[in-house]
Amino acid sequence: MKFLAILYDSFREAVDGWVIYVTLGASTLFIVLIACIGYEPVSAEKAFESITRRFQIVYANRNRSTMQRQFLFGLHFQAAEVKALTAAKRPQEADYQVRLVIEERDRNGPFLPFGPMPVQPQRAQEDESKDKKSVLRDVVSFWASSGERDDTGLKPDEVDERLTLDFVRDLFEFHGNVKVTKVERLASNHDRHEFLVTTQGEKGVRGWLHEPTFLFGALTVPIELSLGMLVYIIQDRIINGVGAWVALLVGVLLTASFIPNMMRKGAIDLIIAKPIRRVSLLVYKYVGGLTFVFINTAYAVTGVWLVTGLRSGVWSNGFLLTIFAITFYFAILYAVSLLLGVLSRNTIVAIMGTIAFWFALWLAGSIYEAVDVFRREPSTRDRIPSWVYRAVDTVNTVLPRTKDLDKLTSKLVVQDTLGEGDKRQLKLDTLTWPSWSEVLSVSGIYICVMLGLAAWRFSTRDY
Amino acid sequence: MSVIETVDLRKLYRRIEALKGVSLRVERGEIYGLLGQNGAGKSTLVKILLGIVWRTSGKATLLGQPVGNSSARQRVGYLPEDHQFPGYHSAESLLHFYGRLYGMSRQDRNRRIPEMLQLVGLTGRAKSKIRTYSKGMKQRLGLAQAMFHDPDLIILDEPTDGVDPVGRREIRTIMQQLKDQGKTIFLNSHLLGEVELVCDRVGILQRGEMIREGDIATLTRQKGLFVIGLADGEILPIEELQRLGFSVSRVGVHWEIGLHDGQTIDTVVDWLRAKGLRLRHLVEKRQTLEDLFVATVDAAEPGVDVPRRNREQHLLAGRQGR
Repeated sequence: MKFLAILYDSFREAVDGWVIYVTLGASTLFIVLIACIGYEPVSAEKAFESITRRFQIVYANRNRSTMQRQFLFGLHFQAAEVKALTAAKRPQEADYQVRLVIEERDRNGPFLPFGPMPVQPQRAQEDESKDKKSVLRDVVSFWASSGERDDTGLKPDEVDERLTLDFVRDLFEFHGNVKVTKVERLASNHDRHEFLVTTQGEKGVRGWLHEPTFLFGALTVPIELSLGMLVYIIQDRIINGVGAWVALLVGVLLTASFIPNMMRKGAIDLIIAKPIRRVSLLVYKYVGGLTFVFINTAYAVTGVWLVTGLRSGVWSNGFLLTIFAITFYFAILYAVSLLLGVLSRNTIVAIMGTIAFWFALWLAGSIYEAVDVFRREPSTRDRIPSWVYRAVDTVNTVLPRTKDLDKLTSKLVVQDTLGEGDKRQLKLDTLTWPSWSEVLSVSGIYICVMLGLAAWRFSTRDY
Repeated sequence: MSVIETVDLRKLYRRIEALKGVSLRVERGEIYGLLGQNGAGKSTLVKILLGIVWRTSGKATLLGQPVGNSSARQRVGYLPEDHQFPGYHSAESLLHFYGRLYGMSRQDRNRRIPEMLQLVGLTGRAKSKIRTYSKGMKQRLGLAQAMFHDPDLIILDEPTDGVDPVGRREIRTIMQQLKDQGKTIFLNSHLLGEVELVCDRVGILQRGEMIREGDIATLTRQKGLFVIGLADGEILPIEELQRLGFSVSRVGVHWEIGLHDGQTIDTVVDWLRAKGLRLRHLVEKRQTLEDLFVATVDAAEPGVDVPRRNREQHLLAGRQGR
């Protein structure tokens, strides 16, 4: 009863201002805008043409490396012929046979590196005297290499037919999210290679390329992305990314005044004189603030989930769990805001302090991530002194894991939206996800400490 | 069991001793007035009773339970001085909120809210936001919320502050009704005239110490001082009475007779009759609570505020001279 009374009072306080109406209005507008977006599957011809255009990008370590990649102009890929093997209502459900033509146009490059220069092109120049140079073999050799600096990889001579066919299969699976059942070489000469690739249709639509339309089909945007990727961009990058930050910021601004207002002279006497323990009062106020953000987030996320599901057919249930993740994120910030509010009894101090703390967490998480990238790569591991690793590890251990929480909420969206190829392209398949239990427990302890300090101060001081 | 009891209650704010061993008892059904100058420790005492301020030492109970215990406040209503109700509430929603905190059922709340708002004259503004209320209306609402859950003890800090004379009389009537219902009222007020009208007992705090306490009739009585009046045209023979040992002075159309040890007013009455004078007026002289308060405070702390008072008198004299 008392809990509900405080909860309802906090809600009244929140809805008293215009900010919540603006927030809900903005959420509604956003939901309507996303509802206006349609997703049109592209034809098989167009899909395979678009997919083969992307074959220009090759990553080392069988398209798994994060550090090494190349843009190749030496090869030209073309889906010369696309034949449906089975009839299907939707293009993604049919089996196809694609004749892939690879032409070697410029054996001497240019190879445009992005990242450290790979070893393969240099080796190709060494082999030039033997007149055995093949750009395709170079690229396959690079694709099969580990991507490490000191890895000389396979010599182009060692690239056999099986590896080349695996390479072609991987190109389709990596860039096109399609399941390849068979790859065979049709014809080949020094400059031209032809392969026949058989793909299997899928009931799911996530991996197939779609074009987004706006205003219920009135406007088509010439972007061909898999349906899963389009939904992922909306749900993760826009809602869970920008939207969550806005929701958290609004939440901080709106709830920061709850405690200072309650502790104003003349107001605090009234509430403390009621038969409620001070600690309970503070905790109920805290939960009241969380409830406000929960309702706001639930409204926006559920709305977006509903309209994207209805319009795209992709029902990413994991996206709904971001409601709790964003609320938990806010719980960390609000615990700080609460403590600052109790200590200073000033709304501005609570807001500024919380935002500064939020920035500090983001900075600490970003530094940890950047340093961790160096640590994971054997070639760069020793470039940073060990005390730096120890320092960032210590800071990461004691601070709430907001950056990890960001990653985990992304994971919730990723698992229900992206196809395997998309996950590989975004390097999400090799990403080491933080553990939920670790993130929740460390952050939870932090919340408890903040609340404990605030409760202690609130309970012991005179008003 | 006393409704309020404090024994040697002390409160130290860092170096400042706000309460220096205050002991008092307030019994059920009493209206008790706590008087004192600004900074005397009245609000500190009330706040300790309500768990808003923690005591440094001593003992204090509220309705038999130690103060600071949240359940002790279940049967207490409180109107603080300079209160600030949340502006986003209306009178109705505020009473619902407070009622929930007191554990009142919705049925009870729905029954009590119109009653209370009618009692304090806020029925017409029940749904208006509090931020639109005048100071007097907020004060009436404060009184309503203090009585709302039918408490046994009501603590009122300056309840008539900002209220017009008619409203003040209404509040006094409400307090009297509450007393008739057996409620205990603990009143802090600077308006000594009002305190005198409604309180049964008062205590005077001075610099954290209880310097005087008792029922109003006893405290304001001036022992051995009577005022007499005679029939029209008759004159009191002052000098003869003075020769008999009484102190006599003329006050308007009456005379003030001072008795000394062993003397009674009956002697004077008999003497007047023997002289053939007709007695028309005889009362034992009382002082006002304000007189008592000023005299007590000055006696306890002679010289307090004297420089300021002198300055004010000089300023006043200067203005009159111009």
